[in-house]
Amino acid sequence: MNAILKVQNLKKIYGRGCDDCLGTNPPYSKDNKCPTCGSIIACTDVNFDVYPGEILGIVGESGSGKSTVLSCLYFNQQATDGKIFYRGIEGGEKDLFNLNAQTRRQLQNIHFGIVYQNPHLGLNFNVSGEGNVAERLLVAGKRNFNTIQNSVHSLLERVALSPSRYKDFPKYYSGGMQQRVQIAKALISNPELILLDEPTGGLDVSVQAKILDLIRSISRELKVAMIMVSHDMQVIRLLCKRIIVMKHGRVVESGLTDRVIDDPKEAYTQTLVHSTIQ
Amino acid sequence: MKKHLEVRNLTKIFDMHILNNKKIIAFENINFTLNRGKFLGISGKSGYGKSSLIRCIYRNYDSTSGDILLFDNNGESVNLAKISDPEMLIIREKRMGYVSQFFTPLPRVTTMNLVIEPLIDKGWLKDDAIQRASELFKLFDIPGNLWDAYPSTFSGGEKQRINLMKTLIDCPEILLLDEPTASLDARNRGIILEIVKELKKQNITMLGIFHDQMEMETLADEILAIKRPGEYHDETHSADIEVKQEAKKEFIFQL
Repeated sequence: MNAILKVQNLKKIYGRGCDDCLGTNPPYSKDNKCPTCGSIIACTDVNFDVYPGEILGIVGESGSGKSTVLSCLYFNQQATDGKIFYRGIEGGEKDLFNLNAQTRRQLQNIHFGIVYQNPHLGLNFNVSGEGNVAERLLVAGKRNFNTIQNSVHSLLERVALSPSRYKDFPKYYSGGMQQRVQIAKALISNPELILLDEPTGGLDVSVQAKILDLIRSISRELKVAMIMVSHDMQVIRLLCKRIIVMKHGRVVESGLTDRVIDDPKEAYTQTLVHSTIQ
Repeated sequence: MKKHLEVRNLTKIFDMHILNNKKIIAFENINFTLNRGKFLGISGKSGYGKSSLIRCIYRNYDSTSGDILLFDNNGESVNLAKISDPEMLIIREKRMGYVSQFFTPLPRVTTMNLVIEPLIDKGWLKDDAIQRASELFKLFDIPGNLWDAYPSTFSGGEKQRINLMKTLIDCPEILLLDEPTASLDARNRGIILEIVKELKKQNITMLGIFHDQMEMETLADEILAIKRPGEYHDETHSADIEVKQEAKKEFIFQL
């Protein structure tokens, strides 16, 4: 089975870095800052593959570098080093960090979708809900008004947004509705990969449950691959068959989700698993 | 006789970093061969590593050393202790089923949808999948008014049956059973035992732990008796493990 995305040695640091902080035994333990050179290590040595149709989970506490990884994959931040290969671009032969700006935008607008925890990052609050979703089709080159409206409406119906609210601005939406519109926006271009950055963070449990069920059913129906960042083990257990565990910007453990939860090998993972309220 | 599963020198040691690096041996140097269509029972006292052995085979635990070879009909094997996670997911999906005494139902998914999920994922039409599930529900004696309810509200016996059914609907070629009748009443145990007997007739290979000696004797073709426990790691010792042929005659009671 071939991976759709390969991430190799992804690194994002603020500062110059030195042999100490980038070596195998980094000196810092309580934060991500190198005592030798003062650089902040957001993430380093991150390697993983994503397979078609799967939801890969990334877990770890705040500051472990989870969101930085997603952000680099979507080119919101420029990675310091590393390579990404995606099978939809030049057969997976070309490193995405070497793409020209136009192809990169094509990736963002068509091949990849993203859902942020903070809806302000994912939605334009001065455009209606349906306008937000339609915008992605417009930038992807679609021009026929009726075609666009039909596909936007059928998708908004799929994510269970009430039709009477299609034309409202996102600022008038509840947190759950904003996430639904973000999900619709990510899906409208039929992407092969969706990046989910704590999509249910800050939502109350009943709304969280509905969003998680929506993500799960979309994953099963459309077979779109996803990378889901979360600090909530229960959420990850529900959705992901494979996970990677991050701490201080590094991957400390990866494996089948049930294996990592039932037989955690690394000290940090054991602490994390035993911290879950059962 | 075709080999189906072969376990060689399998050892599982837990490394508990959060307990001052305490090492706990689940089991050591287990060897056995299981032929196609046979039932191997695993016996041994509580804490001897029976469940851990099954979990290692399903890769719910990672074994510390040793090999787990799963053979296909042509005698080709894959080593479940070594293959990648995505490869193991495919084995779980297509070839191997695991039923434990613990059932964690998916929240907000009805019994029917839970049970037909593997079939839908394989591309079955929903009506066909429901048809097949309905037949199984009758066989498992699950009343019709529960089909569209949430299994989290079910009784222990009903949950156990749903647990087994959800694994069996997709007909795995090898089935791992970890006390599927634990804490059930006689009637519910009876239903599950009848089903396991039926699976034997259908030539499904099984590896199972049954708490009840009588149940084990009725079902098993062979018994793997784990005699020494995994003790806290003070000195090295090798577990005294052997496969008893003709279980019914040589079964060792270890009470």
